[in-house]
Amino acid sequence: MGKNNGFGIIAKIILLLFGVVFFFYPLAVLFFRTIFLTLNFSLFLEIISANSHLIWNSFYQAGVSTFVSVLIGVPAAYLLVKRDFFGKKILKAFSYIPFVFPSILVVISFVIIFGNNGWINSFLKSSFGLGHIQFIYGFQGIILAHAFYNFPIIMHFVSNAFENLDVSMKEAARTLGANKLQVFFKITLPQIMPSLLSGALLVFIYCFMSFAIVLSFGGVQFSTLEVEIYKQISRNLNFTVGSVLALVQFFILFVVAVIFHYFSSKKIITTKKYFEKVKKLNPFSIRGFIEVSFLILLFAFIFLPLLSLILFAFFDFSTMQFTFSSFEKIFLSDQSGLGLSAISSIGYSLFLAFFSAAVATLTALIAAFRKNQSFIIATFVSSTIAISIMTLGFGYYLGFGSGNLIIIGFGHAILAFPFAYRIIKNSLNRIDVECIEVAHTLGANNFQVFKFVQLPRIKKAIFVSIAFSFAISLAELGLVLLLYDGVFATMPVYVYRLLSTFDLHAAAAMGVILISISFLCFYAVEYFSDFEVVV
Amino acid sequence: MKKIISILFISIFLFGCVQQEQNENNLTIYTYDSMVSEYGLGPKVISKFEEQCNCKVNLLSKGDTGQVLTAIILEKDSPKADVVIGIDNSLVSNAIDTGLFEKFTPKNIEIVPENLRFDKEGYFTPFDYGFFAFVYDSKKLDLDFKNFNSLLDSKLRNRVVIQNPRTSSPGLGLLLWSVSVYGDPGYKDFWKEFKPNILTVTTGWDESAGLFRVGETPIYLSYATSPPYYAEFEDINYFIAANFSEGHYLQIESMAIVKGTKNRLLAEEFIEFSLEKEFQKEIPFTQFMFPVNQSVSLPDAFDYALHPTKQLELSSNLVKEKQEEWISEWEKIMVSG
Repeated sequence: MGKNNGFGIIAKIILLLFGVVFFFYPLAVLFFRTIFLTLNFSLFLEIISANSHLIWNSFYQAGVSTFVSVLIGVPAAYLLVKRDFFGKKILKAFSYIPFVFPSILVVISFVIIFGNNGWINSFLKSSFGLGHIQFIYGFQGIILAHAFYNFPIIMHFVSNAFENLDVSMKEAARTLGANKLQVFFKITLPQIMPSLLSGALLVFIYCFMSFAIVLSFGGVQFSTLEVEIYKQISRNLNFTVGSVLALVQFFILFVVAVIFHYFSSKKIITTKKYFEKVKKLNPFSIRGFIEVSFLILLFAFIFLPLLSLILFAFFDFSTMQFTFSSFEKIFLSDQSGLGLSAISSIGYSLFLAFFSAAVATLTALIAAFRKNQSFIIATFVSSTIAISIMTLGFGYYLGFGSGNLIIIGFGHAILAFPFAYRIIKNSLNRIDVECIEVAHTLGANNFQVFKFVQLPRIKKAIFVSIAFSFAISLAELGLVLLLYDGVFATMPVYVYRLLSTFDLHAAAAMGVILISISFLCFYAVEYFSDFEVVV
Repeated sequence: MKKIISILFISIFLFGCVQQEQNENNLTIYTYDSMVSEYGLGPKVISKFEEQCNCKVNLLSKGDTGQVLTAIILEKDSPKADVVIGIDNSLVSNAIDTGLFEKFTPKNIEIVPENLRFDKEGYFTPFDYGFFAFVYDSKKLDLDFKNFNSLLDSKLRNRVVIQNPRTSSPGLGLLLWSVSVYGDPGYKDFWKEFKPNILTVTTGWDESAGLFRVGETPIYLSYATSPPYYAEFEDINYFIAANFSEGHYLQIESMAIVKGTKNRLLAEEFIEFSLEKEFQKEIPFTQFMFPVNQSVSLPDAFDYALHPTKQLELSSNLVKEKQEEWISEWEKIMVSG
């Protein structure tokens, strides 16, 4: 950072320490101890070929999940940008719910809604006398749950692109005699393509390493690399096979992440000169009717899982009355009589979330400001996207041992880092270069430029980055379960424990608290700024 | 300001790296998650033991039973645990094979009935036991369960929820149970016929229990001692454990001392304590299993438990030898067609 060497060096050291100690070291330990010490190359190939069907399964599953998410997400983005309708703000705010929905709770609420005896099947049976439709068991269940989680990502990426469309080009084309289809394929599509591709690649990566959903709905019939890594290490006690598969998965996803990095930095940000008119939604035309139906289904898809949780949290099915007894049970009538563990779980969660959000945002800020070594930064960012929770978790276990809350916090920071980086980097890229140059010409040093020119313009992004990292940490269960020693029971762990004592009502109550906190976080970002939370 | 931040950062980092010193009077126990949760057995008995031994006990959860064993193997060069709780009779031979446990027979082993002392090699001490059973909602299922073949009834088509033998101990228990009823290779025919009745195979027992509780399934693989839970905590007395005339497969949970412990005497004291009434009387309502100490009187809700007339068990050597083959045969049947 030029003239402010002290500041620059400290920043560089912090970033380096973060990357080397909390990312590179644990993975090196994992792969060194389990692969390089015990394995020759032919055995390595043998393990891969014996598990090649799992690699294919992961690709296939992630591909279909991404396709379905795009199928829902793109029309949703289109309507969100081009149509004016009642409840648009609510729909926008609700689209953050999947981000903060812990996967163990998604599984149970999907059973309540889409199960063979769930709401939808009961409705179909009582109204039309239909036999049940098997929504959730097997491959289709995985796809359905992944669509729920991921279509909002596509929606946010693409709606941003729709908003930035250069309308003048479109109008020129129409004037020159192009028909609607030609305009769409030649003008609109190329403009939204980089956003759509980067969204789709990110969704692909998530679905590829999805764990709880595949484990729960895939049953015995359908397994993927990530699930097999867990089974090999945790069940068969076969660390070599588990680590080889982890390494293979890491390399596959690293390549995808690099492509993602390329597309997402290519995302075109135009300064809008012409605004396309936002049309009012008219439900009485055929097209309008289809659009309204789509929006209602979309709303139901996001809202029903939450509704099922709220009902279980507040409703006593035996007396058919609303009650706070589940909350009372959590906070007032536990074994200690003080509600200590429920409160301490909120405490642990908040501590982890604040800590990891601070670390992720600070390191992302440093990384985003580094102009040189962009290759190293790009590699690091791509690696942190490509690392799965199981791989990171086992690496941490071998590298640091377990039972340390701070270490778990750094782990969460690694998981949140690529998001924080993207958010801040995007915002930084939007600052007019001229503005900075003028400041330099007028004699400002780097620190002054940072403080007076750049910082005010990325303030919102910092805020968003903190909120996003916060929510990621709050909902995370896998890493905590591997490393917490049963001591630092965070909110998701608490929910998990309540589920295993089959107290669904109390689990739902805790889930509602957890989702409310993260949701408020996002809502605050949405409300206090016009900043789109785009990763 | 910058200095403060960097000092803070480095000190946090150092704090994170400092390993906790092993204390002479500290007993570290690894176990599965439900044991340490506030509703579990751990909190009820650990403080009692701490008073008795005048020591400090760290009861740490490592996830489920499989992960407990994983942790022990990962730490074999510098073991942190002194005692492991929760290895059951079907996992015990695998555990002994790791060579990471020490032999120990408690002085008060006479408390445990002869038929429950399953580890003849003298590593593992049993502390509770139970039987696998199918638990069903008798208001929704009008079916008279007589024996294993009742599971093949067409009324159950696509309705039964079970667990995966590779990832869950009841799941493995059911597979072994089917082998002990139908023999090898007869069990394969049973599974082929039973398959259409299976709604889903869950990873763990708790997911199955959840599906049952929300009314998604009227019958799931659980324990003979699950009905007491519903009777005691939910006031439901129509969830019943089906009684099979062939008998029910036995599960025994046990504990052992980890090889290389520096607190061998304390570990011995703890295992002996686990057989005493103070510890054993907490088992029914936390573990929902039977205590091995027969002088403990069972609570009233245990009248709803199924007390099998015949108990089934395969020899642990046979299980060790055949388990992998049986599981992969089972997987083949489940995945095919």
